[in-house]
Amino acid sequence: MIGNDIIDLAAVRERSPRYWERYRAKVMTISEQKTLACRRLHLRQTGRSKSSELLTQHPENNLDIWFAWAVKESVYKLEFQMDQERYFAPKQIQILEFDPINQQGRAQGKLATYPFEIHFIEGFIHALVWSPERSKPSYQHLHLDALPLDQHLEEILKKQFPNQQLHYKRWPFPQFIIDHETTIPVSMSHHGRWGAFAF
Amino acid sequence: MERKEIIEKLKKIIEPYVQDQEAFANINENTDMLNDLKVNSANLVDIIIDAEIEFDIEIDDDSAEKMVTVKDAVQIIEQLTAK
Repeated sequence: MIGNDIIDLAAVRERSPRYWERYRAKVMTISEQKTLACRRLHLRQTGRSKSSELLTQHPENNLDIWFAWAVKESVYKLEFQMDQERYFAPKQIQILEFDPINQQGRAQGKLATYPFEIHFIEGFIHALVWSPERSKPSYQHLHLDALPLDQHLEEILKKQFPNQQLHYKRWPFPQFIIDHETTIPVSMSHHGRWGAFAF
Repeated sequence: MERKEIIEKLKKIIEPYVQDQEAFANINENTDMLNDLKVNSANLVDIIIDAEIEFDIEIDDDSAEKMVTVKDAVQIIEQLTAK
């Protein structure tokens, strides 16, 4: 099972610093706020990764919030593939560890703990989460001027499964059915000008 | 505060985040903010904060988890504004 989420930083509305403090408190636990504040300081001091550049260039963008949100939403999507339970409780999903150099970490969901990877690209943040028993998923970021996400992914899967019938099913969660038999769970996300998928 | 007044104020709060305008035009108490109005889940946090500011209340995490439909949100706001 997999989950992914993308945040277009340009699509985030401008708000006061006080507003973002409230937002942060609703989305992140105290422990996460401390962990990510330390990481942010560390990144600024060391400047050894892409995220450090972004955090330094855009401190006003509250990247820690969007980082945390993208990971949590990805975990939610992954677990939805398992139990189809809808809920809204961002603080019940927790980021346990984050290595800012490798951009990887672990997050605790309601059902299990999952590895994650975060991509800080100019203009957007993308998170990828997967079940520990599988390998890291493939993924792609796309500007939404390109093909719709499901069509783009279908083109990729057609090359991987030539001469086989592919059927995209959106509900209860995104998946491709191959030859009416094999199911490939996929994860789609879009926000503002950007989209991403993982499979 | 009257229930009708709460609903009207809540609709104004929700409107900027709605992605399905047709569903918004037919909004009622059973409307699900995520499924029907296609509000992005990150914007549900905005709606909660905007409601806190508008109604001068504090919505805790347990109450926020229950704000799925318009009816849920109105009930929570009613309870908190009555205190």
